[in-house]
Amino acid sequence: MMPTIGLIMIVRDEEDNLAACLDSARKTVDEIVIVDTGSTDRTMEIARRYTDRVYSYPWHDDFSAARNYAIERSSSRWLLSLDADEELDLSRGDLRMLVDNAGEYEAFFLPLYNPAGSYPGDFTLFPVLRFFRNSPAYRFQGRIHEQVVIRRPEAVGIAEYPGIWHKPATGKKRNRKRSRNLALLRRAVAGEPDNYFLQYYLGVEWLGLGRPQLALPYLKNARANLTDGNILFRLPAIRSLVLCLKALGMTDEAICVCLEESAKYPSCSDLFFDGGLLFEETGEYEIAVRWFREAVNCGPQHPLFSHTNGTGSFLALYHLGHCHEKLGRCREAREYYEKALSANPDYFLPLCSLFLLDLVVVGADQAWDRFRAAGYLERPRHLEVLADLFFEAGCPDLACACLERLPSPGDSGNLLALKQMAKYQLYAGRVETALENIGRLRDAGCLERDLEVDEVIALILKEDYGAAKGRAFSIWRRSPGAGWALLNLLSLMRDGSRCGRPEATGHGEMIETLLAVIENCLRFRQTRTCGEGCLMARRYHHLVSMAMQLLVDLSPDGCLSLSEYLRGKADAVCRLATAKYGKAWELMT
Amino acid sequence: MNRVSLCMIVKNEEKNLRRCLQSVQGYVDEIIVVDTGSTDSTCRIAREFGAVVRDFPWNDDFSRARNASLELATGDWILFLDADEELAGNSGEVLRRITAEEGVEGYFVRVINYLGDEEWVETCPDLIFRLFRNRKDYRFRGAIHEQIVDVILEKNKQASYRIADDLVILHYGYMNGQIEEKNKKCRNLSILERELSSDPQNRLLRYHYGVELYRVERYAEAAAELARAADGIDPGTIYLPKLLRYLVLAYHSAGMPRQAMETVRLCLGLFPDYADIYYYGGLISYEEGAYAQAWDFLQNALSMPEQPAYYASFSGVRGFRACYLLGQIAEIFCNEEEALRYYIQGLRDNPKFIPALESITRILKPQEDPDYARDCLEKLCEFGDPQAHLLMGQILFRQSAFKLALEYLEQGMSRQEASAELKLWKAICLVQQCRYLEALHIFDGIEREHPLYPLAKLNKILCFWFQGNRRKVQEYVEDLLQLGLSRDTGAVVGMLRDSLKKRHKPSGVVLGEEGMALLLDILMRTLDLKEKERALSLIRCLDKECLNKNALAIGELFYRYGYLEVAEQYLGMYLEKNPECAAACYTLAEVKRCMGLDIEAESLYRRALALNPSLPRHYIGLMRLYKNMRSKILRQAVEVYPDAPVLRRLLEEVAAET
Repeated sequence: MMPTIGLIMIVRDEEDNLAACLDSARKTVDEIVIVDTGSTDRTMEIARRYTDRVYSYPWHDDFSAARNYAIERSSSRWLLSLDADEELDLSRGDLRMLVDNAGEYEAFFLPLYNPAGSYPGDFTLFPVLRFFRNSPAYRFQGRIHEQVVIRRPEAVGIAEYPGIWHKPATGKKRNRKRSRNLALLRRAVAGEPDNYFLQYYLGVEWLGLGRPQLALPYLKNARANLTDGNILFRLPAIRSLVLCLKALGMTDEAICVCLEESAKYPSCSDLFFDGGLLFEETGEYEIAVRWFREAVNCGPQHPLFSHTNGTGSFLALYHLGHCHEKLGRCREAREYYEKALSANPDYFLPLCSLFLLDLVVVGADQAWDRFRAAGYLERPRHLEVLADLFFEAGCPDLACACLERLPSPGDSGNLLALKQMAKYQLYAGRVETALENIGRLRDAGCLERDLEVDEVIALILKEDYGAAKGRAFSIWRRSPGAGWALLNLLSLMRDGSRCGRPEATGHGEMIETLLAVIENCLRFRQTRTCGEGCLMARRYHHLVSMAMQLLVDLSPDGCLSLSEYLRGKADAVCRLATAKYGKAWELMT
Repeated sequence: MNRVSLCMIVKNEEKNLRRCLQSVQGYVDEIIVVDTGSTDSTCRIAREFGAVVRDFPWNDDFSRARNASLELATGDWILFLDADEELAGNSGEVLRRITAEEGVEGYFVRVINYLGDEEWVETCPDLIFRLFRNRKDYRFRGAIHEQIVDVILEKNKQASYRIADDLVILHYGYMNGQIEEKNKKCRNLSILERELSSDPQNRLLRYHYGVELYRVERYAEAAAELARAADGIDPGTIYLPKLLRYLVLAYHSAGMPRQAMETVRLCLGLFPDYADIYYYGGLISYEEGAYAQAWDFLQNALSMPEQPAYYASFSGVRGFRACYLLGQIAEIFCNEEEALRYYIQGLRDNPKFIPALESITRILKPQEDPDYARDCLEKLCEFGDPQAHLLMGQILFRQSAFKLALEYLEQGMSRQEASAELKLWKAICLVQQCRYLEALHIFDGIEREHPLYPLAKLNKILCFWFQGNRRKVQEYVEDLLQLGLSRDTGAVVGMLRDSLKKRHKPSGVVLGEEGMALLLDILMRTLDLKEKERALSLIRCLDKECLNKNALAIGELFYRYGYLEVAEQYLGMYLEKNPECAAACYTLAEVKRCMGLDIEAESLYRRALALNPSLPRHYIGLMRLYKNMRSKILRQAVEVYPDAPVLRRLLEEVAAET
């Protein structure tokens, strides 16, 4: 009997990706055909683990030819075309369901997801025609950016799933691909000057290579000549054009494009979002707000619209918050940030904004209470982000409190969190527990330099000068500068003595180490004015003054960097106040 | 020439009527007075001026009474006045001129409302409809004067109105001494309510109803009615600006700042040159702690042009009032120089605006540097009459600048007899200069029957207490206690006695608010006399818990007089019990900074900031501290490394910033 679904692939040097791709798809296909175009790695060997239909085909700069060669080797009724750096996501439905309900359809668009990778939910969606009946009429066309062409649009269904996830390529690999594509594309465009798909792709390549000047004419052509029948490419062409104009500083023209096209596609959230960004960047926050609101009101996107996830929801909501904040409307800003966060809890920029907002509106302590009440102290990722923010804002105690809410706080399994935890505990005044955690990190063999320094500081604070000296010496052997700074600090703390003049080397390291000690020890928050807490506070304060004294005595550079450090501290406060009081602050001080 | 009939309705107006009728003499051709039941000499006064007087029984209906006067009028024009109003200066001639105009059916005229009392009079202008042609079918309807505008329009579609800016009516009815009694206000309210229930669509009525509700301080209801009156209104309506201002005020007084702010924005959209609205926008933002926004609003208020009459702009909103608020914001941002500039600008705009003078005086720190303060004040103010000297003396006294206060009080009193209170103040100033004998002379001069007698007696005790005269203090304390003082005052007086005992056990006195205020005042005067130990001996009499509770105020006092260690001790004590108190953190930070304990100060400023990030001084304190630390480091560095020019240059840079 004829197999129902065949997977066809062309590959070259894909040993890193191929297995994952085939694993993701094999359950839903009956036949796998792999055409190798000249691998020099283990690609063929891996391919053979999955199928005996592996063929070699000499590469001659023509993607379509290779793919059609694969088609011809398949006997299935339906064909799925994948690249090795893609994976099929069958979690919401498989291809058999599509086949069973195909009816008159000759082919299907499948959603291709391109993750940008900075957070879950950061992806663009692009419908691609990758699943079609095996018929001699359907063959790939084009030497590059090859497509299966089906003349009757009504014969192509749009499937919401299964989706294809594209793996973001590493920088090096991407650049290699880019330059290969560029050469091919330039040749193709020269050969087919009226093919606007190719012009679009060429524009995108130039833009990706950081050459907007060269990209501009191609993208303009693509926008002008691709029709609504080609909406699939027209929209991405428009967005690339907007990006390109923006990169060239032609903001007004970019805005014009957004205005014209959003009037044409009033349900396309991407266009409103891009327009909003343009106004936001020019400081026209009131207008930006209107655009972002439109984006939010667009509703679900047409399945044939390529689309950046979130432009109609969490991204636009976040920017609404930002614009309102800039306009001094804190309450609205907060509401939008909260909405953005609930629309996509993995997108945590709004969380950072909420943090900064609360810091100047209610203060750090109340901010913590508010975050807890709002349920933002539940997700591990949120807790880690907030812990960092609290620490940077000078509240190591609250940073600890965040981390302690992790499912297994201080678990050696989560080394990153353990490192954070140890540092935060030390400067929150919990010296003993910090030392324990540092010990566990040492046992696990991943004690980094700054934590080693922290360990010496912890021992000094504990007044365990013997142990501190031992550790400091061990640092000194590897990094004399840091070691010298610590050894001097500890003798100053112990009995006010010094260990002699510094060596000539490691001068920068000494300054760096001492400034880090100052910065971290200043974070300690004294909440008691007498008793044990006061005693602890005095030691942190003493450490700070000793470190400052050492810097002054060290060299003119030491003085200079300390002076700059203090200027930086003052500037940071000034920025905070400017964010809060805006123009009034500048006028008054 | 066109004849003018003055029409009035009156009841028991003998105090006001004469002033009113004198002001129109020679400018109106007949006077019609409808009396609704006077029991005083009102009717006789009216007849003196040749008025036609008619009795008309009051039946809770303004229109019928007013129309009764119109029936009798024979002139070509009707001018309507209330008895507590009068025509200003040359308005009579204006009246003659504008009633000669052709093609006008009526005029909106300007009313200046006088507010406040004898000491502090303010004016608030308004625009109302009081002058119109006398025609048979122009008759009043409803409770409000202005409703006749609609009547005239109904009868005569082509009728045109003008605004007569130069015809000014002065209205004294809002002066504190004259303010209508409560039941009169309630009467107005119930009449308006009744009319509204039969004519609910009438915006003008609803507007006046809202205003009346505002006057009787039913703010939330006022806001609701005014909002309803404004809903869907024609933006050209002449009273719309006033209506919106009342709406802002009502929301503000009802504790609904958000709605007030929305109304401000809406109103500025319609009337972008309305100074009052900028001012109130500024005031509300200021109260909400939105200083940047307040700043913008007030700057706008200051830059507004002369206000049109129908805005009824309140005095000072684009002058001394806005300046005063700007000065306060500048003070919140710790910028005394800028604050001073605004207060002075405010005082120039209105030399009678005392709050500005008080603030100026405070900033000049007259207690620390009396000579400098005197020089500045002499440049700023005219001290032409003794009254001015006395006023300045009182202000200085309230700032506890006793030396300078004494100078002004003495100058003021040298030329006129002063009240007992001022004499007492002068004596207190004398005490603070250690001129005990002169002071005692004044204290003894106050009669036993005088309400200030106990205070004089207490100060007499203080004279001896400051000198450590145990015997005298003991003696006079017993006398004073026999007068029957309040529990708190008695307790403080007892403390004065006990603190002088050689080896007295801590008596654990517990004071309430009143007693604490008195004690703090005495402590302040003790520190003013540089008697730190004596002040401490008094504090030692306090109960521990009571001391804990008041340690912040005590600590601040010692800080103010430069006793840093003592201040540190009390502020620390307070913070231990109240770790969440930002004010205590801040003051202690200032103390530590003065003591040179920069790192401790840093920690405390940051704590204050974390507890209350709304106060600019918390940011400013921290920034100044970092800057001080920097210049200290650089100064040290320049000494250690005299050959590094870059350090010297940086030091100069830092110095130039301050």
